[in-house]
Amino acid sequence: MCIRFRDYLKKYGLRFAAALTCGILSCVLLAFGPQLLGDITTYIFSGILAKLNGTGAMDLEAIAGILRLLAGIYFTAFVFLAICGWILEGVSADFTCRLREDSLKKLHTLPLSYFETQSVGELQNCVASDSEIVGRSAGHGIFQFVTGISSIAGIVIMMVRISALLAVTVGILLAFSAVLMYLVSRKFQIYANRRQEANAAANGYAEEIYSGRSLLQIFGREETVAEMYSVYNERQREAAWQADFAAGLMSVVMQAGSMAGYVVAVLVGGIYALHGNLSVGDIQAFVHYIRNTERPVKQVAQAFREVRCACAAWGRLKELLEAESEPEAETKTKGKTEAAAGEVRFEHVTFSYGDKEPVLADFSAVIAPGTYTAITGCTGAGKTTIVKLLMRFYDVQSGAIYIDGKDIREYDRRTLRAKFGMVLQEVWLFRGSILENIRYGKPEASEEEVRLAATRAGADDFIRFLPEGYETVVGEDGYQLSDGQKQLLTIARAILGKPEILILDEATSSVDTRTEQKIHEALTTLMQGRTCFVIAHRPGTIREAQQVIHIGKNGG
Amino acid sequence: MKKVCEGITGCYRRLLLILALLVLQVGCTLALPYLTAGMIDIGVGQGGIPSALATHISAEGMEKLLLLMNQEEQEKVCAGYRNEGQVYTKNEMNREEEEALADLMTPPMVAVYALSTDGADYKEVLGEDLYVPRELDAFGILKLLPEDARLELTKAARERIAAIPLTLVHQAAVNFIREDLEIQGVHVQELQDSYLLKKVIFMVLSVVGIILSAVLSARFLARLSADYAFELRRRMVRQVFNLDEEQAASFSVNDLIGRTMEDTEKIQHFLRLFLQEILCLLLLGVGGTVLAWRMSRQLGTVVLTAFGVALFLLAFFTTIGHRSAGKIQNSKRHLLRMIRENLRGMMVIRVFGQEKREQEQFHRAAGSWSRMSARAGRTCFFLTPGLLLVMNVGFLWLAKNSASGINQGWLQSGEYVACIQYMILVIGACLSVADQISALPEGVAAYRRVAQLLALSEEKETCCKGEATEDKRAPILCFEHATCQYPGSSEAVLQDISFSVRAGETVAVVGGLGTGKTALLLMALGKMKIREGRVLINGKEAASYDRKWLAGAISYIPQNPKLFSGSIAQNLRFRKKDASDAELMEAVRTAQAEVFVSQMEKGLEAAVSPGGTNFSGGQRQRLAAARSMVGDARIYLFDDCYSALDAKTALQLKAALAKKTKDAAVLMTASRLELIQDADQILVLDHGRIAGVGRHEELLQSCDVYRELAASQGCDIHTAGEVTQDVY
Repeated sequence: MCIRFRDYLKKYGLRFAAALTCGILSCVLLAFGPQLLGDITTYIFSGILAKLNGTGAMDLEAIAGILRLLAGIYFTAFVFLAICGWILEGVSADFTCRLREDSLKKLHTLPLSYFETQSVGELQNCVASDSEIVGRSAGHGIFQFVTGISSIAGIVIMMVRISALLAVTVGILLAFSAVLMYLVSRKFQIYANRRQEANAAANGYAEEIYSGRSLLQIFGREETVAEMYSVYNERQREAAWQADFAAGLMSVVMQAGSMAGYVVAVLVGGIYALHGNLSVGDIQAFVHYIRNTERPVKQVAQAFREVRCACAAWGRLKELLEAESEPEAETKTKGKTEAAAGEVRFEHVTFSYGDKEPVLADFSAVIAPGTYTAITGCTGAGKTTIVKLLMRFYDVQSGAIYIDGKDIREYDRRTLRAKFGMVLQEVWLFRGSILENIRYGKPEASEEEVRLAATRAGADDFIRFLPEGYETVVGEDGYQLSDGQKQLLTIARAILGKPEILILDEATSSVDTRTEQKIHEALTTLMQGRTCFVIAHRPGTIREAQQVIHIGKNGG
Repeated sequence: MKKVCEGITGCYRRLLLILALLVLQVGCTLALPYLTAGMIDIGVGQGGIPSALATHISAEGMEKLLLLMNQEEQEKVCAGYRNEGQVYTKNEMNREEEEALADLMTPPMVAVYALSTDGADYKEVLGEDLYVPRELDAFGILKLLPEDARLELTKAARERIAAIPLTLVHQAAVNFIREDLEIQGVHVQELQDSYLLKKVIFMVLSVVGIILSAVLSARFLARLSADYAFELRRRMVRQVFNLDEEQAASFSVNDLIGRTMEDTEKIQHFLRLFLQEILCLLLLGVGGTVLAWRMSRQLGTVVLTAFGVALFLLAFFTTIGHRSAGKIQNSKRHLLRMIRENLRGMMVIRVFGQEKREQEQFHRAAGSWSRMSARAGRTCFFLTPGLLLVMNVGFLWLAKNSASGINQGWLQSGEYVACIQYMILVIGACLSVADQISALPEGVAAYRRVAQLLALSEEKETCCKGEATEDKRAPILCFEHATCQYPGSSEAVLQDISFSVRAGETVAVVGGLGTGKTALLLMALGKMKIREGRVLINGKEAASYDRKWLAGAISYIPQNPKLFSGSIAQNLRFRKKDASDAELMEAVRTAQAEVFVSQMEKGLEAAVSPGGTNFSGGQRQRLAAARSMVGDARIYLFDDCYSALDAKTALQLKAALAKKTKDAAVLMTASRLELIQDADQILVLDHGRIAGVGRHEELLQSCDVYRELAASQGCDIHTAGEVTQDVY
């Protein structure tokens, strides 16, 4: 799949066109400003000269006319600029929003293997920040760029119109300062990178020592840690001031260019004026134009920076958006095979992650419906892999898995997954009340059902003692539950779903043995008539299993 | 607040230096338009002659001038000038006298110039009814007449000149002076050229001044702000490690990192922005207004008004931006949380088939962010066009005032041109501040966050050093009806806990999940908020001890065996900085960690990644145990330090720890009963209270909770060994 920036932009084509037209128009209008102001000066100057020499008077009428014209121009330009900004800010926000939603949607379709290669932080940044950077540069960046370029174009044209020679002279000066600025900016980039590195290193260290704060205090390590941090701090300081100084130099160079241009214009223009080739108003306009170059040049430089950032961000987004999704069910065989609901059959299943050793090699087993199967094996042997294969988070490399007599690849993923209830090793709660969290899989469940499920999972006991009971907000920044309590909630969640096949992946690893026993009693009733897989390393858990699958080093 | 400022007031010398450089920079910047005005008005307009009062006037010129004056005026002029043969030279006099003399002399100058210009119509100047013989010019006639007749004759002309504003007359008088100078043999063109050259040199000097001061101030400022941020970060880190648990509970780790890193950087940026752009803006604004004011009241008012409006706009939009930035920040935090939840719960979401629901929720949140951000963006977008409008309207106003001003003579063209430049400079400075406007509220907010943290009072000074008790039988650690709660929470975790540990004694704490075992140990470490009762160490309250002393006296193995980046040796030297390698190896042996430590290529110098993630859970736990075994302690606290170990290793570790700690007081928790069966005393916790105290056998008899616990583990103990052997 190919995602193109252009296609995204097209959706906002009309708004873009309108905004950019307004932007360019306002710049064109504003470009006339200094010239007209200069004309006024000329009128005044020649008027007063005539008056002093007694050969005429000041043409106040003409001046008033230009003033009115200018007022009109300024106001119209303001309105155009405002419209342009209004539209582009909207486009920016919409575009960001759209990118975010698309990338989140995409996340839901990506195979789990994708998440193994990416950290949560990176992906989160991609969805939240990269999209904002791209969206912002699409609105703000393009605005800066277009208005900057058209302002510069307008200024150059007007300058040449006044005096080509003067324009070339000043142009050379400005070009010289541009080259100088480019050199400084390359230095700046190096320092900025160094600063980023220093900050990242310091951040990493701060995270480590801050999260271990209590422990470090217990060990009386405050002084040592502070001393060790000072190494990072020193590096931050060094990098920061160099980067800041380089940034400062850049603006000085820009300022110097425009100042030098100013002096040259006044000087050369003055000589011209003495010989009558240029009017005072023209010189004034010219100087004004030189002053006006500073802003658009800054704008364009800024826009370039923004676009460069946006390109990198877009690259990351594109990578995400173009990543291979989980394939949909291939063919749906019509012939229904006869098998009792809840039967699971593995036939010569082989699977490995990437090019590594196979986790499962030629693995075959038939699990009768309603039975209790334990999966054991040492850490990293691939216990969880079986579960992931069952639910098609991964596909087998050879062989096949049948559920209810049907190859799981022929199921629609949703239908397949709907058959399972699952409690994972890693507990997942979202920010919301306990009630919402338990009925996550079954939003229509009544409060009664939720309570019942919680009771059966042994969670009701502690929930009732919470300050707000079932309405207690958990998850990030919410009420802090212990790992065991969280696990109980997820068990309740799985119980509520009443699935055909229940999978418990180390579901009771953080629960103490006494509670575990209680849960087991509850689960035993729940498991009746259901196929059940339990992954565990505690012997107590697998004692009652009807069959045990032990996964060794090479699978099997 | 005071604390944050400390760093900056400390370096006031550098601040003053930067300020001086800024003043120089702004001064030079403002000088440019001033010089331009001079060039236009005097250099071009008056041909390089600055004053209407000539220093030297030729005898011939003076004679002509005197012809157009009455007796009184002639006397005054003669008093002002002394005759030096061919030339009259001006005497020294003060400003007021000069001005009075100029007002007196310039009208005749204009008249003389008009009369002596080739082709000038005498009749127009002197009146219709004058007969002028061919061989005489106007002055020839006037010379012949008596004073009364002279004055009568030139009355009309003088009246016409008197009708012209005096300032204009001054400007016009320059023409007479130029001509007179030529009579004296001076090259007028050279005079003008040298005047212009002088101005140009000044201009170049100004530009050099601007560049030099800008470069220097950029450098000093970069250093100053970096130093300030350095100092802030240093203090923040110290402060974080000074926080007690209660204070720390109100900050998350991410929050603290944000305050230490991002916020100080924002303050650093703010400082730079303030000292450079904003001060520059204020200086330019004030300086520009004053200079414009000096040229003309009216134009000064225009510049001042524009400056005021621009400042108001800046302040207004900063406030608005600040307000909406907070809201957007919250909205974005909400979004980030949702994304995190989605990423972490990817599998669960799919298992439960809730993708649609998550997407819809996200759609709503993202939409609300988008609306908010668009609204804020649109509001703030008006700032730049608004400032441009202010500037442009200012131009118009200036032009309008100047046209009439110049026409009426109270203003000169160059001054008008200069005022336009001032307008550009002042509003231009506002515009460049506007570009970075978001840094202002951000800087202020960051400053508040940093100040809030720094303002937290440092922990009360405790310097009570524990003395070794003489009485061997006296309990080292003693809990007296202690009730405690987690910092930042209001619920009691443990209630009414009483027991004591003597030297050489081992007390074990057991109980189900979340019954407060860890809290009990933390209480001894002073990390819990004790609501009622007391926790005594050597008979004195634990909280009254100096933290350093306590760290030396108590050795603690946490439940979560957290290691820190560095080498193994660095991690082991936590309790005793100068421990020798032999001591470290001894501790490693005690902790049963020799197996893997000796296998490592670098041994004790092997690297540990942050959090110790390059070691397995079991290895980490053993290293954490070794860390606490370096050096001696009076009290040992072991929090479930066998949880990640297989049964065999756990038993070995237990034996080794017991040997090492045989003379000290030991308080330990464990989830596996087999590891604590032989403790001198076992406390059974249930729902935050002590449910039973005694030895293993006693408790089996008397305590239901203990019996249940034992029963649930009874079979485990039997099979655990086999399974784990199977695994490893």
